[in-house]
Amino acid sequence: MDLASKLEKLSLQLVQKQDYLYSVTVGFERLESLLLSFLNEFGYITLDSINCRDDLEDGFFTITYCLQTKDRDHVVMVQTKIQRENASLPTMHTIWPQAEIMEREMHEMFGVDFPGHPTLIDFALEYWDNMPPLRRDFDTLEYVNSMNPFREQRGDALDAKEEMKKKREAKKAAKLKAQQEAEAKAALEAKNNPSDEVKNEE
Amino acid sequence: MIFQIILLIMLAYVVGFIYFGLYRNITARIQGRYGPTVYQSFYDSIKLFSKNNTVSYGWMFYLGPVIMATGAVLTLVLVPVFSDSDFLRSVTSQGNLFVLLYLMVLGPLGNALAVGTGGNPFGVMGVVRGLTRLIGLELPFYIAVVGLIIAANSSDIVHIIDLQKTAGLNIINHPLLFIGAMISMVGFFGASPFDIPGAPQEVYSGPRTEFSGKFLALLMSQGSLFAFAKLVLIVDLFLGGADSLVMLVLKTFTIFVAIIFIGIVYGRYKVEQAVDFLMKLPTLIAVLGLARIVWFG
Amino acid sequence: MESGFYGSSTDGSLKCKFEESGLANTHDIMEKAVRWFRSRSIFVVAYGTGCGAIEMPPTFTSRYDAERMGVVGVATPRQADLIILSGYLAYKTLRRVIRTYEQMQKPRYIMTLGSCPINGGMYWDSYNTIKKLDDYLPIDVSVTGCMPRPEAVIDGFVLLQERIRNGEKAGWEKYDENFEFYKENQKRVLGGHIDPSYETDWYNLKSGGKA
Ligand code: SF4
Repeated sequence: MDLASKLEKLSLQLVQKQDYLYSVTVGFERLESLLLSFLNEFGYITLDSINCRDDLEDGFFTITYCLQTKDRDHVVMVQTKIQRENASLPTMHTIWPQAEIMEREMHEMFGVDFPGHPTLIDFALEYWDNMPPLRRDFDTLEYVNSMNPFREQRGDALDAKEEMKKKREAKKAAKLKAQQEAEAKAALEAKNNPSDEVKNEE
Repeated sequence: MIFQIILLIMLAYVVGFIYFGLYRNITARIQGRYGPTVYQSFYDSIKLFSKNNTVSYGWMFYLGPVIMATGAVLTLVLVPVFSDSDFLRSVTSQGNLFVLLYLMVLGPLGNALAVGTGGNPFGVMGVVRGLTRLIGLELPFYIAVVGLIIAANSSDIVHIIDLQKTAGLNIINHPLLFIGAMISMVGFFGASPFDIPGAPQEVYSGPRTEFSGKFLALLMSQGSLFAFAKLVLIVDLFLGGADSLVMLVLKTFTIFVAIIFIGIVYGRYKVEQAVDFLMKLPTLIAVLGLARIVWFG
Repeated sequence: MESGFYGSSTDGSLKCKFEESGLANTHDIMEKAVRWFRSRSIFVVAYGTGCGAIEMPPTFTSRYDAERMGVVGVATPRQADLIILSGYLAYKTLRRVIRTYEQMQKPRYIMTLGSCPINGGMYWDSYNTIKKLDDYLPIDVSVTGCMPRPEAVIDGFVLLQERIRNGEKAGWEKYDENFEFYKENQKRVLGGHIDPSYETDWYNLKSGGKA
């Protein structure tokens, strides 16, 4: 592919993931210049989305920019890794205007900072003052239980798993029984009137 | 006479509400639904009268529905309901068509004042649309009325009714005027395609957005009173009036059903489109009718 | 609290007047009649929260036609008697719903659809939705199911009508009585920002909101 050789000159490697999906991994320092050259030199005019993955164990965020040409026949993912602590990225809203809202969401959900971004305010959550909720060190269950306790049970509640198991077993048994009965019936019928075949032959 | 006026208002209230119930019921049947009962509008208005009211924007806000109701009741009283009886004759002989035409605009103006104090943007939007539409609606109707006045050589409704007894009904003598007036009547009733002021998908309830409880009930009642008055006016002008209650109900109901059917079939015009349409086709028809009267008698 | 035309059954002043003039019976009959009319005419504002909003159109249009029972959709909370919350409520939605509910004129009722407003449903572990709506607003009728079919919704309407007709204690009366309780719960989960601020400049949000 044409793009692969171009990227090779920048000593980057294009990896094919699926027949329309390619990815290229780049260091954080070269991210901005690479995105610029994708737009200006390679003709990738559309920014589909900016995604973030939390690699808690390794201590970094994996950021993915999905780009498309005007032909819309394949997607190139530009991936980079940034530190989890005090994460910060260059803002892309001057190049792709749609990046403004994507970055705003990422700021809210992961706490990534975008210096120079004009509207880093609430996006979907209002007045959120806890840890950004999609970071993996945010304990969702604990937070939910502290904010919204469960309704007390009525007392007659049954364990759903057990009940379903019982139900399934009963169903299975019923099915088996029906099958056996049908077989027995068929055998009985065959025994009772064996004359059918004889008649036909006559 | 006071007794007669009260009787008339009660009659108009009952007939008007049953007509609106029928309106909803017939619409439902045409849409393939069962629809509400005929008395549904009664239930609604009684329930609304029994609701609490905690919203206030000052006395002008309260006055708006009252002004509208005043306009409706005055119109109702000034239109001769029965042609051959003395029922309210002493009042109806005071008014003539010009006063009626003036009173018909009083309601929307009162509404505009009240909604303006309410400050709800959707209400204001609805009022602006309603007043704009009114420009278009009035034109064919006024031309038709002027034609009738020239033909009868009098602006007294009683005289116009009496004339139809000897010279034949106006709907046969001046069909063009009738068509023009009917098209604008569809708009006066707020039926499609001219129902843009209160279009629920766009401006919520339009002028009524901010009114609740008793005010809404008052608005609904005055709406049905006014609707009845307008129906009677059309019957008087074009169908020769009615001499008994049965004839009155029969004639008004015919007109009403015609309006319902027109309203159900058509979609909704935008404001500009509505005014544009009303200033062209119905106005042209009415002007042709007027020209016929002026040149051919 | 201001009481309307037979508005509140807890306010006995009107009844006293009737009793003084020996007309206690009349008052009872009148109140019964008004209740009957209320049950026959329910104006609904359908607040489409969550997935359940998709069941509203068939309920109100030709297929199931709720209008034959006097249940009609209206466009503004000012005119409505009943608000239908059709599904899970995020905190953000809850703020708007509380505002909408408090704008409605008494008597007012709430009906919820689905299991989410009852116990969280399949969003029980979401960081941003509430689990028990009845902690924050008084519910009159809950229609269960995920999602309830329009038949079930209509069944809910019938139940509500019966309750109104029998003069059972409605949610809005409970809301008035236990106002502190409800406000406290709302404050706990919404962090004191109960209403969306009236001053918010929605068109120039650059300066507003929390950075
Ligand atoms: S109860 Fe089911 S259908 Fe209703 S909002 Fe919850 S998940 Fe959606």
